[in-house]
Amino acid sequence: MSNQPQRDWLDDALKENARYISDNGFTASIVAALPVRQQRDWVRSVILGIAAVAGCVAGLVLFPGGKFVTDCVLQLVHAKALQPALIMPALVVAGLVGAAFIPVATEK
Amino acid sequence: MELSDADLIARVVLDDDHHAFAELVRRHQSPVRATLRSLTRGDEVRADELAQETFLRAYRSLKNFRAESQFSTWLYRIAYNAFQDELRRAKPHDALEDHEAELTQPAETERVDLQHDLAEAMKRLTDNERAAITLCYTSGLTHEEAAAALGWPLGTVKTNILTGKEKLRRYLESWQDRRAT
Repeated sequence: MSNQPQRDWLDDALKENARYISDNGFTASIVAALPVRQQRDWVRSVILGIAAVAGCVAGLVLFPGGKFVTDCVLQLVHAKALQPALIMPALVVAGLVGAAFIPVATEK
Repeated sequence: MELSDADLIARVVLDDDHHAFAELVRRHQSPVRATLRSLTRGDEVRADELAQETFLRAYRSLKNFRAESQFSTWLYRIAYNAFQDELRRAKPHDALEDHEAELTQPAETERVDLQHDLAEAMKRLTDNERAAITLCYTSGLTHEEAAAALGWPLGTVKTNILTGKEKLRRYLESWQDRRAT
């Protein structure tokens, strides 16, 4: 029985001894030392690219504004002369596709 | 939503996801480094080198992690093995000897506070006593988890904790008296 208080204060002190050590760049140093990723990067890019194109097509087909864009693109294809009213939707489409590909291009 | 360790491990194994591994390191770096600092008697530089070695070994072996124990327990085991390997390299003749530190400075000379004295007293324990006490108190493992991490029988863990704590009580006798009054 007389040992109980002794054990308590020592246990408490030992547990208090556990303090948090801040990262301070430790994780970054580990990641920098990891071997360079070589495999599957191109697979990821292809998948993201296909998903981006599919998303653009689905958006154009399913949403009301999309019909306006697709109609204009079709007219642009069949047009004999370029007009600003036809170029604008083409730029919108190009912008959408470009924005969709930004994650693919910037992904590390 | 925060991903579990198991989710992050799956991402590393299946997709070699460095971001996922970085998150695992971020979560576990503090207890692993604290444990290694204790094992190396407070040598922060050496402890961090061993911690780096620990995480790199973990990265290379992650596909072999079977989730039979917690990821943290598995990490402690790697850390302890890295520490033992370093001891063997440093002292090829008596690497496996469990040695007790000879401190030139008695613990009483720098009595700043209990934690300081406790850290000094911990340095005077044998490597095995310090490892067992560190894992069970600083790292919060159960005796069974510590036994798994250290690769020792359960009884050896308990014995080392018992003898280590007896020594700590003796070294910190004056604190014991203060707490009692």
